[in-house]
Amino acid sequence: MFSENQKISVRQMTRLLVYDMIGISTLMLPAFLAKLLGQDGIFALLLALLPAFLVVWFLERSVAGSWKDFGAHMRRMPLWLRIPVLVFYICEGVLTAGYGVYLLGDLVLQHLLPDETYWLVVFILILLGGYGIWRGIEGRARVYEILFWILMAPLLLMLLLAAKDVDTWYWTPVFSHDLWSLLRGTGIVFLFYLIVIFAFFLTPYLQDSRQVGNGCRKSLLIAAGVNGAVYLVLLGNFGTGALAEMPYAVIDLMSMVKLPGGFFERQDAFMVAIWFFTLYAFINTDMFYASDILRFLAKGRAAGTGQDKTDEKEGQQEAVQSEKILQFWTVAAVMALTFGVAAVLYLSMQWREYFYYFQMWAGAPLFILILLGLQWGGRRTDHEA
Amino acid sequence: MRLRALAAILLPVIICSAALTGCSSTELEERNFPLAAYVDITDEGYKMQLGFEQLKDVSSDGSDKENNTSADATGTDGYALFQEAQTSYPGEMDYNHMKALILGEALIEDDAKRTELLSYLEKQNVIARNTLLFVSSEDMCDMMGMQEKLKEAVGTYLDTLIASDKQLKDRAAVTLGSMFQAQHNNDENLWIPYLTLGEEEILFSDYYLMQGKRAKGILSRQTGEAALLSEHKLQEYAYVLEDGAAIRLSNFQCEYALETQDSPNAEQPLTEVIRIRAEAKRMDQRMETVEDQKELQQQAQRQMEQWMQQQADLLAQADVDISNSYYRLGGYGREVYDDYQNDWQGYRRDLNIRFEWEVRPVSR
Repeated sequence: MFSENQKISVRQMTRLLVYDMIGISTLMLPAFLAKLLGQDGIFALLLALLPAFLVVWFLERSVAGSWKDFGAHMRRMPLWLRIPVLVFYICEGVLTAGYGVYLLGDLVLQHLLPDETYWLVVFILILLGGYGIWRGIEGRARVYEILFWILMAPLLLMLLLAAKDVDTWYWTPVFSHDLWSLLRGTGIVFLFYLIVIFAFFLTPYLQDSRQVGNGCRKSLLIAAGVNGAVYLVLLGNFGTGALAEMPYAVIDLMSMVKLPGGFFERQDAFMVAIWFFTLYAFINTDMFYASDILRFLAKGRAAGTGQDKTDEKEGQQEAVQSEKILQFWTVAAVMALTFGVAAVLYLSMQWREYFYYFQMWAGAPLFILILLGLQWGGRRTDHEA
Repeated sequence: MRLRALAAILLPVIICSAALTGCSSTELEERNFPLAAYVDITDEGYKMQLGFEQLKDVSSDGSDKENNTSADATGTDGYALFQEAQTSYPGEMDYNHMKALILGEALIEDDAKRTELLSYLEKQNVIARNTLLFVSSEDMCDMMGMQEKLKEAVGTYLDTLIASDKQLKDRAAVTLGSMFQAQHNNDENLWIPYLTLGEEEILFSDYYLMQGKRAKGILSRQTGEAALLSEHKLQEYAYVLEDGAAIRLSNFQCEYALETQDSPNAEQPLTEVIRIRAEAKRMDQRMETVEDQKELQQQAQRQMEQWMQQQADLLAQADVDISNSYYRLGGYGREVYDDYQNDWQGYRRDLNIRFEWEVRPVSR
């Protein structure tokens, strides 16, 4: 009934990116923005769209020539540069996946299974992540395409119901913070929006890569809209002082909403499912491109270009078998590393601080700068050719 | 083949390990669902009494008052208190359905102990944020023992007491979450229902005012309702005029404006003008003529202004801003907000309140 060619549509990519972004951003940004910017946090959420659109525009200009094949970029690079870049992206993938696992584990323990052990929760999450990668991008994209409105509709409904209790005085005063604070806040929000750059690693799996720019912009607008709505509702319900002290304010909000009829009591536990799926999408994406790049590093040739399916079509059983074994071990390695990161983040608050600083000042900036450099270099090489 | 063999070994191991752990297997009959808790302080720390129904004794005809029971606990801190509650009575305590939390007056007035307990409750997510909050100075055993005289558990009774109050808007009901907010925001008044005991019932007789993190004390229910009205938290209000006419005010619209006096010698350079519009229905008899309506309108406007002004002056003497206007300053008094930022006390000192009422009589 459905083709299985490991290709996804732009709509599926858009929905995946939306999940990647809103899961982690709606959980983490409200408290941070309330502490830093208070009522002006909404402006940071909107302003951060500008640099995000700029990045997408720059990458989109390279679509025709150089976007398609990450492996081709890597092959053009000298070995002494290629290896560190690949290792950097693998580490970034593992670090962010590990952080996602830590966050989701913490959420599950706080709201769903308070008497359970962190290790079992994380172990099962990583198993699920590994299974998601093993089954391939297409199955995952299909599941999230179907789940999109099943998860978004209850979230929007709860926000609507919570909106009637909003005290709009909590939204004032505006423009009461200095420019530097606003720029800092915008920068942090931009780091979350940068998750859209995962499209770069999904492009080889797209049926039509020409639409990737539109897909990225659409997902950014949806993510900004959802974050904006969540922030305003949270601010209007709690006030800046209280919101700044609430690590998972949006989950607490869900527990306070009164559903008409009063027939559903613990809707917060039900709503945690939204963040379960969105954070799982985020974890899976990170683990996916980490294992994809690790496979490329191990094989020394292009990964994720559909060549695996070509081999299969040509009936080369041995090649397929060795490919599957390599995939197994790369996925297992990424799972083990992700577990290690999640363990360290859980056991040490100091390492969590290191992680935040690393992402803010090195990880995320390098992530985007290297990609931009690759695109610019690739486009230049294409022109010269 | 090797991969399939590996999966065939691993999969059952994972399924078995998940089946042996995972969701708690405590059955419903082995759980206790406290519907109300009363927490107060002792010399060593805290004491608590929980009131709940024995599920396994609930007959098919409905719950019997003999099914209500209580459990006591003491502890040096929040963690020890709830740990002892867990072990003091057979079964697992499940606080997910708690409807009412009563804090003793001594606990509310002890800043350190109150802050410590609230911090524990907030960080550990022990009790849901939407649990109704009350204050009382009645004896804990007497209060929780009322479930013997009431037809229902104390928590259910208090929940119904608040839910059936048609005067209050839903969002104005004071909950544990409201208390957390007030502690963090530290620029708002919180009017917590104060409970006393009657012969056969629990009475909501007064309010206990928290001014940010400061416990201000008990104030009359009438004063509290005047404050809530000025904050636009009531949806209707019953009032009896001087001539005995009973009116019900509803459909409130509140507007706030700030006037400042330039004179440096002015005692109270700020005046907040609160304009309240409301519809008034006469409840004891019909208004037959247009003159009746006009008479009612003038009386209601004059007396509501007088009454609200009296309440505002009474509260001002206790250094309380009746309308809780400080947190709204950013919206309609930007310059004043800049001048009094982080100086709530100074703002209250310099503030004067003036009410202007517009009443529209409507026919029954």
